[in-house]
Amino acid sequence: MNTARIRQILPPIIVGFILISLWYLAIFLFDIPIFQLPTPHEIIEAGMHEKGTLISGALQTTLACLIGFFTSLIGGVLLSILLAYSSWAYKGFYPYILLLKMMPVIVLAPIIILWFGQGLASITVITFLICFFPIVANTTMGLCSTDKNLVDVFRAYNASAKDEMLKLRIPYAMPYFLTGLKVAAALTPIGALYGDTVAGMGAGSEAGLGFVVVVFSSQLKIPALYAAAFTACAIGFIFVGLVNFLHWWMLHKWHDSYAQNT
Amino acid sequence: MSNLKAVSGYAPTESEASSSTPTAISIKNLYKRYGNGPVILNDINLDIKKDDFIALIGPSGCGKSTVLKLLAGLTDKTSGDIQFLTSHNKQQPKMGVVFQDANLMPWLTVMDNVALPLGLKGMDKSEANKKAEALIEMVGLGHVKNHYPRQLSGGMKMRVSIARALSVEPELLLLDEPFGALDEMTRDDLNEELLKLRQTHGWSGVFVTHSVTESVFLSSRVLVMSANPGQVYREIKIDFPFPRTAETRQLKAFQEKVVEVTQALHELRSLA
Repeated sequence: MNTARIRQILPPIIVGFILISLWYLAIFLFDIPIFQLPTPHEIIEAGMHEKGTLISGALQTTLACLIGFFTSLIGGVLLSILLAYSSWAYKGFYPYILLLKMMPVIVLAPIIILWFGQGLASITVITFLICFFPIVANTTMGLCSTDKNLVDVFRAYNASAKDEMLKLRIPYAMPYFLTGLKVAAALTPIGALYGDTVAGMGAGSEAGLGFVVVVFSSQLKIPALYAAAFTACAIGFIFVGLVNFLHWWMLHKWHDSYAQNT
Repeated sequence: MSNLKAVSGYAPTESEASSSTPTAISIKNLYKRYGNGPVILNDINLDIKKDDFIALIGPSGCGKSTVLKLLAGLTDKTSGDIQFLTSHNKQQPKMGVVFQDANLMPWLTVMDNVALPLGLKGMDKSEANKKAEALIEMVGLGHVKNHYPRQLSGGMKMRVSIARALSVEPELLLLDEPFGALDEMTRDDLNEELLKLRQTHGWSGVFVTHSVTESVFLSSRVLVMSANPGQVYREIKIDFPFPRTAETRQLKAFQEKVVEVTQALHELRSLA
């Protein structure tokens, strides 16, 4: 391991160590009871104890995340291509997409449950709605802002409309699309967890992490509640991490945003 | 898809060009205005010979870039005629375009950028790459063929852009202020290289420039254009033999031509 790498890793480890020490110190000094703030080792203990529930909850939530994220990705990209191709469609659809965006999902949730019932279907629809807008907004923006000079290059060499889309407009929109995807990825677990708390099902392995949180808090299993919260964080981290990796992998060779690394 | 089939072989038309000089492109009574806007081009008449290299120079707004756009088919004429006489079916001849600011695709490597026009014509990828590689060597960028544009200097980007334009084996090369953004040393170097390339490939060319020295150095004819509306004000023949080198710029005759073009531009200013 070289020194540059150590310099990267060391600060967060030190800060983490300080935070955990302060945590213990606060509990010791102010005599905070376990049902308000358990110690880290109590949380880990409770987490091990509820391992089965947490893992199956995490899997269920991950499933909802994946379905919601990928359906909004596919739907969002297809709609963006339509909007970019036809200015008529753009003018026609955009106000309603905005309307959908402005309508808070919290308000929509009861209606969604009415339509799709309790369970995974409603949860993924809620996740979809939360992810959809940033993907559409960014991708459409990217597809519509193709550099006019580059279009001239394609036109001068008699490129077909299909080549112009595949070899110019889509690659040009890629950084915009990936930025939308980053935003969507950060929102995905929020959507899935929120969906879980309103539309989740309690029956064994079908209980997502959001539902698990509701159950733990009603049972006053406070350390386990904290453990569930950290598990949810982990899902979010993995999700955002993967999308950030995709962003890097697709763009680092050519895009200016990574220029300082070469 | 593309109705143009892959170009076969790599045969410069040099021998034809030197033996006789037929008119390649004939522009007659060309008018251009955008919508109901002012007239951009007013009655342009120009015969481009097969071995011509024509410089268009003039104040901004004189429509010199529009002439290139019309030739490249990037915009439509309002009236008049552009005839392509030497190409087989009187269609657009094979044409390469070098744009201002290089206009490379930032997500493609040097190699893929040069091969791009060939791919758009439906040429097989390995064949296109082979041609691209030869051209990249020719413009002296073999060592960076797998680099991306952001890693290149301005002069290198322009070389890539020239290689890309040459990939289609053009009969006509259009250059729109290609070296405007470069420093003078790089510009002079590229000017000389461009003439060398022309010597081996023998395309006819039209280029737009703001630099009087460049216009005299590169071209066989300088057309001084006036603005509002754009029209040809004066044609100045530049008859030094090709190949021209750095020494050409030292010649007294060269300096005189520079003065002549500069004077024409000054006259325009006093008329306006």
